[in-house]
Amino acid sequence: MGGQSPAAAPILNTAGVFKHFGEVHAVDGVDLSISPGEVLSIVGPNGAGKTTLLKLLNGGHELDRGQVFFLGEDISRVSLVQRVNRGIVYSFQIPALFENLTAMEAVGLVLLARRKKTVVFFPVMEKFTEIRKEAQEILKMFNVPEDFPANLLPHGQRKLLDAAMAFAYRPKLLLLDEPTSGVSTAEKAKVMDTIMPNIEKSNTTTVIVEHDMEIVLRYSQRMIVMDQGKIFAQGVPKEVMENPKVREVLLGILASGKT
Amino acid sequence: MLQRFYRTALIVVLLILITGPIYFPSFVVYLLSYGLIMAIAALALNLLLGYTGLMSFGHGMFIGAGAYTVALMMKYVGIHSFEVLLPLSILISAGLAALVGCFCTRQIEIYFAMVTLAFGELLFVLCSKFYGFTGGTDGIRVKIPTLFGYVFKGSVDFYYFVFSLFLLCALAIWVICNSPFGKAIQAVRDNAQRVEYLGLLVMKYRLIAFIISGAFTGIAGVLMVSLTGHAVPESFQVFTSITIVFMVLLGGHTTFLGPAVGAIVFVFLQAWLKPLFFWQFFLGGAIILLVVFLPGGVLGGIQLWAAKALQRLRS
Repeated sequence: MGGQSPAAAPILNTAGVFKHFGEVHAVDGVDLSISPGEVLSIVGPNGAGKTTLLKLLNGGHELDRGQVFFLGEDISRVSLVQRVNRGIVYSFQIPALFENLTAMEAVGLVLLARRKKTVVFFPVMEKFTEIRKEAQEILKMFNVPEDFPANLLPHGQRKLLDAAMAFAYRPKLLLLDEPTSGVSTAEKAKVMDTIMPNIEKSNTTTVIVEHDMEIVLRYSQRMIVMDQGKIFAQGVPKEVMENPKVREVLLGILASGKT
Repeated sequence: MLQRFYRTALIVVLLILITGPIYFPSFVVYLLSYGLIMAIAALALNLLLGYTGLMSFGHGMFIGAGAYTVALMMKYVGIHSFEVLLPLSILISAGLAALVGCFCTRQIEIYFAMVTLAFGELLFVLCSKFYGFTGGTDGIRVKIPTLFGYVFKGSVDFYYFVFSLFLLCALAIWVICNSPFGKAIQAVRDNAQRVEYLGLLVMKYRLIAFIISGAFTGIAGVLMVSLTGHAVPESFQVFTSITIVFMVLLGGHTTFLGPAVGAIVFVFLQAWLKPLFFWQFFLGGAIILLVVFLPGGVLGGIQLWAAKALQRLRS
């Protein structure tokens, strides 16, 4: 897990990005820098603007003001689809799956999308053995059964499948929006223990929005605390957590997270 | 076991379709040809409806495009052969679909359906008003084209041509539905937003699906006009389009072959009910019963029944 040194050029950085929804200042002037290979957590109370910030990075929302640089290039006006093609991939908080496709087909489709082979009419998908093998591997890594349509999977596996679909794209920057939301406390660790080793092994630069402080402390090298659309504090998770003001902001989360 | 049941059923149906016409009365052969032609259109529409999740109320325009390609080429250019007319009408239907698709694939759901409907009506009006060129509401009479110099003698002869083209089209559509592109359009149907988040332009997939669907429906148009011997502007109209939609729903849009079953059942049902004074009334009744009791269509119903019967056998 290199890339910790501040000297390394950031893979992505923002300069004063703003996003307002009417009166709500969802993201209110955020300067952020992500180093290659690091796992960065964003924490904050509900409505702090975490998801909106992620969607400003991947192009899911349009910026009101400010700039986003990816690998040194200004991508502020680059569309969502093109940003995915450049390697910024987002995984949904509420799993956004293809309900009638099997996990195998969904991941296979992602692999085909990465290879730009989705406008191919012949032969049938099962014949693409290379794709099938890679999809099988990824599903095994993420512990998702191959042959069930997504709508038959339990919630924990739906979360894993969503992450697997994003991961299968081999992103340069992976954005995981609350990978454990809606998962029971007992299962949370299991979900993260499935996802994180894959990320660490592939050395994928990852931003995680997370509510569970235990997970943040365990898996991320750096954390950002957001409140009301602004970065409130950032640094090494343990040190940041010692700041009493941070504990005050995160009071709600800490109480439920039992940290 | 269930798989074996389906396979046996499919083989039996194919055998009937292959050998039957030798023994059937010519009226039944005509209806079967008609049904298989509409089955091509229904399968093509289902690529859009069942697989891409877009409802088109304008597929009649492709039947019309195919039909008028044949009629106009015969009348003005003097081309009388399938081997030219079929590729040409595929091209023209695909071109029309590309043009219309550019407008309507920006819309989804009811808006998409309405735009396709509007285009169908537009072509209907154009076709009926240009009397000098298209023969207006009288239409154009058409002789059965030849195939590589072969002249079709009688309805059984032509039936086998229709049947082979149906098999070809069904196979082609099936391959497309199960190809990477087919999975992509199913993904678009299930969750268009996620498709964009995987770096694919949703509109492109909708447009290509619309073009493919239109092209295959154009083939149905060519065969239709060859069978009936008459190109009429009503083919463009909404009634034709809705008939195809109804066939798809009747057979079941959740299964691949459902729409084909629906088309054949519809054609025979229509022929059987037509002598009755209020036949549309009964057809309407059938639609209501279908929606209430068999949302999966005829084939969906058969599958459900087969699965249940199998369970009973086992216990």
